[in-house]
Amino acid sequence: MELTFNVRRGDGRTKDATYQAYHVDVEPETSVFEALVKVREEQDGTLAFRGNCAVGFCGDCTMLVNGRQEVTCLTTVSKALKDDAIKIDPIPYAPTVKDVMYDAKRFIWDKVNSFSPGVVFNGAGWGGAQAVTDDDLRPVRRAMRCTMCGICDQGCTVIDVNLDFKGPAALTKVYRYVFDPRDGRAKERVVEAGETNGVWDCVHCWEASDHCPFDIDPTHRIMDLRDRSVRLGVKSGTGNRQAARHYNAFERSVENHGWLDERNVAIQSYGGLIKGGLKMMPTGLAALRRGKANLLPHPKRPGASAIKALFARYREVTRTER
Amino acid sequence: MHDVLVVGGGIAGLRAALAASSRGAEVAIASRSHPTRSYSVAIQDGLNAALIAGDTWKAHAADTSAWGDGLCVAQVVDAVCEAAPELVRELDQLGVPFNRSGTALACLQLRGAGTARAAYVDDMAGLVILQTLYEQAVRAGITFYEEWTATSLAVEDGGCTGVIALEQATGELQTLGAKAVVLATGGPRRLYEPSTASLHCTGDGIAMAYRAGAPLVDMEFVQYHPAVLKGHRLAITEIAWAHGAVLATAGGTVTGDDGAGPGAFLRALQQAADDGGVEMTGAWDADQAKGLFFNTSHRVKQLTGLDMAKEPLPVRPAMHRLLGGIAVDAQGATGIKGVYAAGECAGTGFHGAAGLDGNFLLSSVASGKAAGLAAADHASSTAEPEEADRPLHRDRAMTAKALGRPGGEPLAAMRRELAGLMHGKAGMVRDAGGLQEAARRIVEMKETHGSLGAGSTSADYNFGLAQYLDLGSLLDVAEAIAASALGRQESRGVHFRSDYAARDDARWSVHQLVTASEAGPVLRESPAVAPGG
Amino acid sequence: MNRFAFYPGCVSKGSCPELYESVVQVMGLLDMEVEELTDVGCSGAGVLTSEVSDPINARTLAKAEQMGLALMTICSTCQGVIGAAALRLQDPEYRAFINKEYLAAEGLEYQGTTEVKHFLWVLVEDFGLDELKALVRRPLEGMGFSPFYGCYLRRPADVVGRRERRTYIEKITEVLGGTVVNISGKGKCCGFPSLTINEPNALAMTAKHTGEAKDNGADAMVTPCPLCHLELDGEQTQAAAAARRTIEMPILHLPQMVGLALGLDPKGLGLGRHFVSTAKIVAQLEPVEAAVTAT
Ligand SMILES: Cc1cc2nc3c(=O)[nH]c(=O)nc-3n(C[C@H](O)[C@H](O)[C@H](O)COP(=O)(O)OP(=O)(O)OC[C@H]3O[C@@H](n4cnc5c(N)ncnc54)[C@H](O)[C@@H]3O)c2cc1C
Ligand code: SF4
Repeated sequence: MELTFNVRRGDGRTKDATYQAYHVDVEPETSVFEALVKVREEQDGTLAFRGNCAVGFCGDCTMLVNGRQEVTCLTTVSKALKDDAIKIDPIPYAPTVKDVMYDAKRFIWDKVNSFSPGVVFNGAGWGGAQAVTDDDLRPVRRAMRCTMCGICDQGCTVIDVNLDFKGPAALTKVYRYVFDPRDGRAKERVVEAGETNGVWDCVHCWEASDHCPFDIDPTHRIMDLRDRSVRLGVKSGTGNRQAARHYNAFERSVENHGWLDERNVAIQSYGGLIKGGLKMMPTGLAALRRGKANLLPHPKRPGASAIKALFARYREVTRTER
Repeated sequence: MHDVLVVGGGIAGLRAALAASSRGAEVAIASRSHPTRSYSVAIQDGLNAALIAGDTWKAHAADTSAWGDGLCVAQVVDAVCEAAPELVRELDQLGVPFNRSGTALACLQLRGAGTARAAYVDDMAGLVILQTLYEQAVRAGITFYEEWTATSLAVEDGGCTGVIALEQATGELQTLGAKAVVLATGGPRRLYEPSTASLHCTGDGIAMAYRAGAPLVDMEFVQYHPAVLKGHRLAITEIAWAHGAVLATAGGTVTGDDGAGPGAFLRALQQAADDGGVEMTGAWDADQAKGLFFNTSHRVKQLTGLDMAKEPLPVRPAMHRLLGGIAVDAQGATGIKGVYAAGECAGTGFHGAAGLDGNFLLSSVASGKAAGLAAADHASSTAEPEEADRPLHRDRAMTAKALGRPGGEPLAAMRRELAGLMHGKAGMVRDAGGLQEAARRIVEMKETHGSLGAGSTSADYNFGLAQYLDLGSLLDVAEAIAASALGRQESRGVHFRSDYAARDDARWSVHQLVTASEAGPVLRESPAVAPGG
Repeated sequence: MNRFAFYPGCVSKGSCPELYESVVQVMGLLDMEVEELTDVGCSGAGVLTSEVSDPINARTLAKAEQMGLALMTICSTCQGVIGAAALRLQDPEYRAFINKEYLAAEGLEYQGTTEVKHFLWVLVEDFGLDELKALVRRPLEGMGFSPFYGCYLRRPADVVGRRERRTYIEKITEVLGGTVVNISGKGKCCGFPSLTINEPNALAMTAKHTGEAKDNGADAMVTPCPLCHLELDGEQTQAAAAARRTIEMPILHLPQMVGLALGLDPKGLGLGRHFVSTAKIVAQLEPVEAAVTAT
């Protein structure tokens, strides 16, 4: 079938991108990637985009196809086609280097490699006393389906406003270590992952899970990391104590009252009554004026003692691993 | 100047780098793509090792040799099979989450194995091993030259002082100096269509060594994968066989276990594919498709809309593996001092005339480790050599000229023709006439290639230049394959000559080494594969 | 006649009393009965580890189960977190663990049958769009609303269920006579979860969404989530300042929008309690002869 590619051209600094049209004749089940390779080989060797394996494993051929981020070697042209044409852009949340090629180092590798890499083997091989089971390793394998295609990062609401957020792909890599029972450094790793721009900055919007083409459910992996982190007694990194303060204040409120007292939690998260109170002043005053808040903390509600008992039980059940 | 420079960031290259680094060498990796984007990533099945109670490395060695149809190098087979369990254990301890059965390692029985012997990671061994090795390479502090394409070995006066490489982002050619070089650039799949080729499977390292005077070995043995998704490059995982996959053709089912050997099996499939098509079905259920075959079935679905658990898949054989490559000894040493080779670009003699499933990955890991250790030892016993600048000037002049010449469509057309030619004349069924024709055409193409170029003068990320260089490599490798296939006047393993249909042990229990010369490829027979042997 | 076990959540009992009041009024008008669960706990909001929030939510689910009613939430986050817990508790082994370790002490046992439904879904699925249309007394004609869902009413897919739930606010807006003004971030995060952890991120999100609604010509944004409301309304001024622009985009709770169309009194719906003034919205409303009052 004949079709037209409209491909974004220009180096990274080009503000107003120009689109170049390429006409090409391919089979309907040809992938967008292979069709673009054909264009590059037959028509224009200066067209820059990445990709190698052509079978969805190397993760290098992510582009925007008609505005949607896709693993282009797993997207057939017939599926992608819109009015006989396919529009190709570079992914938005990474600096563009040239044409459709993005700065992969800045976008993904610097983030992945900012976390201590490599399993540090703790002796739990197969056979022997510490042997791990297949059930232990299954979640690790699921996370390791990750091809670093970066599609999840493209859906990420935090990266959308802050390119430095590590993002679901890099955090899924941390999950792979923390949940690998053969690695002996879970605690150090959750501290590392908990620094600014790490797990606690995730807003659990579930976009990543919605985006990942390989059913890794990366948002869930981040939430699992947070759960494991709390288990290990870690609620922030070393440079963002407000995350731990937030957690503790939230927990205290629910534990003692059964419910959340947003105002008090906010004050405590910002660092206690004086600092937090000052920070909350403008909002707090406006809230009072509009009848949105009462000065007193929420009273205990019925059921509070039952909730408190659940917390006590939770501490007992999870005590062994603290 | 690095102690050890590894060219190629696939499984073989990363394993070599880790091994060299473990010996205290200062190591760098130069690769065309980011390491984790290398083609090893697409390996779905596992690697063989006698790890299940009752299995022995000798049984593994016996299966390997039987499959190799009398041409495996016994010492290499013994050494690799004996080391295999430890190699798998090392990978596990580096972080590869191999499947277990309970707490014991789980193994699959692949075709050609007498027992369950392949350690696996669902259906994504390549992806997971590659990622794991990369993690450890970063941890080991290895230097990466990502997106650098090596163009030549920097060889002068018989010694190697590094490689000449093109930084894709700038278009600059540099010498990456090293006391020892390990070539781990993968295979030349793009030489054939259909094939399981990725874009970078252009046999660069083989061509670089060949041009620098190193002998290649066993180049006539080109192995096809039996079941590649029709119209695509996706191989259907061999794990499917371990779970009862069946290949149905118009004439009935084809199985690989009728004792006729891998070559006959593949030729029968090719015939059936030409005659009316082959379909793969299996008794696997939705749970398996979601679990064990998740990666394969997801990709099948994306590409064809077919549900592997319910629907038959149209498949056909496609070129998969060159069994030979740069001739190396058991330590990975090539015919050039200070240059080692590992992985798919190396001809170790392990596979003989037909490669066993699960042995390729094993040999990448084994040869990578061996070459890395040997390269580190070489570097530690070698004084820093003076950098040669003639090779750099030569390559700079070559690319400068190429930038001024037309490229694009004529190169694309030439590769299409070459791939068809190799499949037709130097594929599964060969004869003297066809091979001579192929060899002649290759010479003509080389000539035309010399008058073509990059098609543009663009400096950064000039893919036209890459296309030109790639085709240069492919033509060199094609020449060696055609000459070797023409030379071997018998049929053995996956090499089938319709004009010499029988195996001839009296005459052909030898390997062929092929070396480049002004007058074309020169063949030499040898009982060993090692370049000196 | 529909009855629900009503889970108001923390915020509608704290900083957003207008949400609580407007939901109760609207449900009354629709002749839908709610029985408030008063002795249950906070869902954990995705902040607390699921190791403690699952037991708390299992307890809530068990209480609704005892009443034989579906659980109605009025907060996207409550919905998502309790919904996810309910999904996990479908696993008999896990449920048995939670029952034994946590609920048994109170003599409770969760059987895994409680359905969890947000007010938005109840409106469309249990009451009905046609039925709602029939009750409109003050069509919101000429007014543009930007739907803003709150993440948990859009994702994850297995917790949200039916896909069409991702467009209910648009449908309701249209039924009420209003115009939908789409923004690209309608299903994205408002910023609230990051407010006390990484404030610049939170404010940037708020500025982006409210700013886009303004740029696209919306008169108000409407949200079924009080946390989004706290953020988009309460933090909008700071967010706009950080983004160096003025926005002043009124943010309505979903039941406030519904209530206005059904003829309820703006004051009674708490429109005066917002940070960003809703005066312009109120001024645009057609007068109704006598504002209806809920029973
Ligand atoms: C789809 C598929 C499935 C397979 N399945 C199995 C299996 O199940 N079991 C099994 O045993 N074997 C299998 N194999 C075969 C075998 O395991 C692999 O081919 C082998 O591991 C290749 O590894 P490698 O490191 O040698 O090459 P590659 O992974 O191809 O790596 C080559 C590296 O060299 C780089 N490179 C190439 N040219 C240059 C240059 N000029 N300059 C710089 N860098 C360069 C590339 O960027 C890349 O980093 C499979 C192969 C494929 C393709
Ligand atoms: S988690 Fe999924 S979407 Fe994200 S990089 Fe990995 S494979 Fe791609």
